[in-house]
Amino acid sequence: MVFDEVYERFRRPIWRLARRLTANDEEAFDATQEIFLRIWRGLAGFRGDAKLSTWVFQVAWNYLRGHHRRRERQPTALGAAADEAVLRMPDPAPGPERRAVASDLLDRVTAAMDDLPEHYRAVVWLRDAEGLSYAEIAEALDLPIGTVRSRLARARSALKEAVDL
Amino acid sequence: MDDMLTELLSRYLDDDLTAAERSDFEARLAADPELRAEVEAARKVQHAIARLAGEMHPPAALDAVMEPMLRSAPAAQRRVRPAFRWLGAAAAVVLGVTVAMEVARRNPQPELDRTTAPRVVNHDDTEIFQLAPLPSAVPSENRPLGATDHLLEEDLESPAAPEPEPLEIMGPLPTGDLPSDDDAAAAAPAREEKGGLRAAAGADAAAASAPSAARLAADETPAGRAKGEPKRAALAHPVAVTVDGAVIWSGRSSCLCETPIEIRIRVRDGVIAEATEVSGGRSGATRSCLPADLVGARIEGVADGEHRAEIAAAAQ
Repeated sequence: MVFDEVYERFRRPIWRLARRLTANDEEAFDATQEIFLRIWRGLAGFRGDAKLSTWVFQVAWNYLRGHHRRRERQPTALGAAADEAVLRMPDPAPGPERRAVASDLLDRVTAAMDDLPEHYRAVVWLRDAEGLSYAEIAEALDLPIGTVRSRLARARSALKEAVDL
Repeated sequence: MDDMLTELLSRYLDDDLTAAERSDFEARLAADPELRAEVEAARKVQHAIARLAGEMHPPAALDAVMEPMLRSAPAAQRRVRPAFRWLGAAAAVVLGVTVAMEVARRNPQPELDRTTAPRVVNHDDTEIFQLAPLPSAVPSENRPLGATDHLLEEDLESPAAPEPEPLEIMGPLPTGDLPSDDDAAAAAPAREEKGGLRAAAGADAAAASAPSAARLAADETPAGRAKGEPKRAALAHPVAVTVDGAVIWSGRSSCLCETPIEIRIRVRDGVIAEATEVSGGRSGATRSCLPADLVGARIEGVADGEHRAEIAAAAQ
């Protein structure tokens, strides 16, 4: 498998995952580049023990998860108290105000997704947006398959509540 | 709805239930309109997520930014920066990249044997870098620019290998207990037995064909050696310095450590200005493990700044 084929096949899925797990387009843009750089470096060592898609998403998750943590750790000008407040926030993405005025289902789902903790968001996104199997998600996110099932169930339940269907 | 039912519902949506579970769940569905409404709502959310994914497209600028990576061979990596920082780079840079990639394409990199490759190390996430051509001294049309990885996989004891030059000095040594040339000859096989490292002389022959090694060889000629500077062949074995798995420098170690050593390098103007050990080799961190001429080495594959790197034996 050569890199340009991998890029062509996964540019949209990786962009989408990055966008869902970062705060804005700019962060997603940088994250997507970094993920493909890591894929590019690691592709020669990919031996096909896992499905290519699983491996690619594993690389993406390993970066995005760290990316999220690093962003959380960034100090603010307001000091430690403000840092703690920031850490308590689920995400800087669209919040309750947007949900209140959103009439479109996709907007509401988007907002509800952004409010999910990232490890729930990743599971539900990989399943419902990218169509990975439970086993593939388990491998990509390095989770037991039972955890995938339970997180998926909780995430869907939370989304349904948030979207208020 | 309790957790168990929530999970059953979720698995029902994914057709993940066993036959018995499915039968039970569908019986409950038939009897429970509220549960049916829950399933319907969950399906709507599921479909909305799929639609949402279908409407998300990466910006066109992504393809433009990825273009150099798409066109380059794996070993001829180049530094990539976020688009907004380097899309406006000068045309001269683009030209340089194009030339480098053209040469790399004509010289495909053999696949690296991961069992002998230096371990990939993490680096500061503030920096993204790739390999770029090593400095000027490209000795052979058959060598890909920017790659010394072949040092790690060549059969260094091949009869076709040229007769090695006598090993020379890497840098100043402390006085006393310096090995003679005879000691060097005796020490080489001992190292082979001890750590699986190849004899320094044989490795030197192969190393000399690499761009950076060629530069080293030139630096190490007797004429280039300071007068009276002692030889230390027995203490040197081939090593490679990697940043995030990419070889940026190859040369000779200053000790016999067999364990990869993690170091931190600071690069200024394409030159390694500082190198400090982060974690030591077998006997702990000792400055003597750093190749004497690592500091001052010109590299073009890593951007200015501080990076984590690693020194590992270049042959097993």
